[in-house]
Amino acid sequence: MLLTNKHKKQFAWFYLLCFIVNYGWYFLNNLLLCQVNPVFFINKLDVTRNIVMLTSLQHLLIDSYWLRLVFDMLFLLLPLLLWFLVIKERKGFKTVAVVTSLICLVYGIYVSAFTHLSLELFVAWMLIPLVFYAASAKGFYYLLHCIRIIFILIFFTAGLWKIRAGGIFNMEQMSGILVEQHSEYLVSNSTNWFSQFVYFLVGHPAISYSLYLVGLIAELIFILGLFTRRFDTVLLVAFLFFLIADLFLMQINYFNWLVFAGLLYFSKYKLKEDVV
Amino acid sequence: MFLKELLHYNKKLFLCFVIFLAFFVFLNFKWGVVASPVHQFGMYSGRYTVKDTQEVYRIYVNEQLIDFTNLSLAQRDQLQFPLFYFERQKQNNLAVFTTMKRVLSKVLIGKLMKEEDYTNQVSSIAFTNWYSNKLQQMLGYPVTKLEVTAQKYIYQNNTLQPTAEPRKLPFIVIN
Repeated sequence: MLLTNKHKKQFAWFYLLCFIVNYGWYFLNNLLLCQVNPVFFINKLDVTRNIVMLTSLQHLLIDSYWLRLVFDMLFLLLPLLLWFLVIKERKGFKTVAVVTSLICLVYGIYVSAFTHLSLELFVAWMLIPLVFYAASAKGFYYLLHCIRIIFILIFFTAGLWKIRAGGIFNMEQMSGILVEQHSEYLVSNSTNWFSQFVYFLVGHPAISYSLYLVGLIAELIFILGLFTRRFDTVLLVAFLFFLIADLFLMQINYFNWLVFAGLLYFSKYKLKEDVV
Repeated sequence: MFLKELLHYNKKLFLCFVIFLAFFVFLNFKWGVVASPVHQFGMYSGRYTVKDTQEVYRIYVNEQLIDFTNLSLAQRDQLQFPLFYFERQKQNNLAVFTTMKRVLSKVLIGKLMKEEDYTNQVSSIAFTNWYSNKLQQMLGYPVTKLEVTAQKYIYQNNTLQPTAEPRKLPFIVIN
């Protein structure tokens, strides 16, 4: 099937849906800047973050409720505006796409400096708006595939890191990770079903290591996506498996990244010139 | 090949994309400093063992221990991470500032970095007030007494066992 502007609009709807659900999750969990009401920040070894912090915005945000509210509103309204401009085919979508991406970067930098949320979670909100920079179906096709390749590299390198840092060569790896990840929970209550389940896995390293190995394989198979789009459905399933498994087993919410699924779904559509 | 098609379609986009990819590969190969949106996705790739010592926070509100299993995932994180971060923020931020100043000095930005912009001015009392407000909001009742301890645990006999006496966090100051 050919890629058309209709698909760009469908992706815009998917982006909007994912964003609203995530923003709602932040709101319900008091994780918006004006709800966090921060009193201190934590810095990290990130060049971009440290350049943004030259502005001293971190201190201004701590001091001013209104500035935090402005950032929360920008973080909410820019994706909505971008969606509106794409759906209605109005002018200005290119500027809004770039500004949305930049604001999401700055917002992510500060949310991750004030809360437990990591900046990596915001990568999807920084990259996906750039897909909508395209004015034509052809431009959309190329931007979609550029971001798709970046997304594939993120997953593939996550697998490579497990080999490079030695985790995969350690039979106790997943048992050790589970103890570390859930230590507070296990100490709080060692008898409920989840604690018992975690303790079972910790006590059976062969089983827990198998889960780690499956995770590694799921990440490494993303390399297929660099050479062909034929297996994107398989990668999509592996990606959804990763999101669900991370939430259930590790209790880490990676659903901020769900919007990346659109890249693997819309990649099946071809250009008129039979580029694939 | 996609890159060839991209070059044919738009040279500027091709250049931006190739530079981004090169930067991604370089930062991942180099191991250390990142530059958002390029990160190293190496979570849980280092070696872990079941015998690693775990330090566990225990929060006592009005002399009652908070049971983390009664809280949502996000609530648990919102109670644990601020304690962990606040304990380390002074040392961490100073270390990051020193490293980043050195890195950014190579591109002449380092001299613009002022230490006061990269460090917190928060007192222990201000942190405690903020933290007890969070607790109050989460639990739905007033916090009149608050004590937080950190205790080391180790996995043995199929359960986590304390290996040391609990350490009272000195920056929590409500009694």
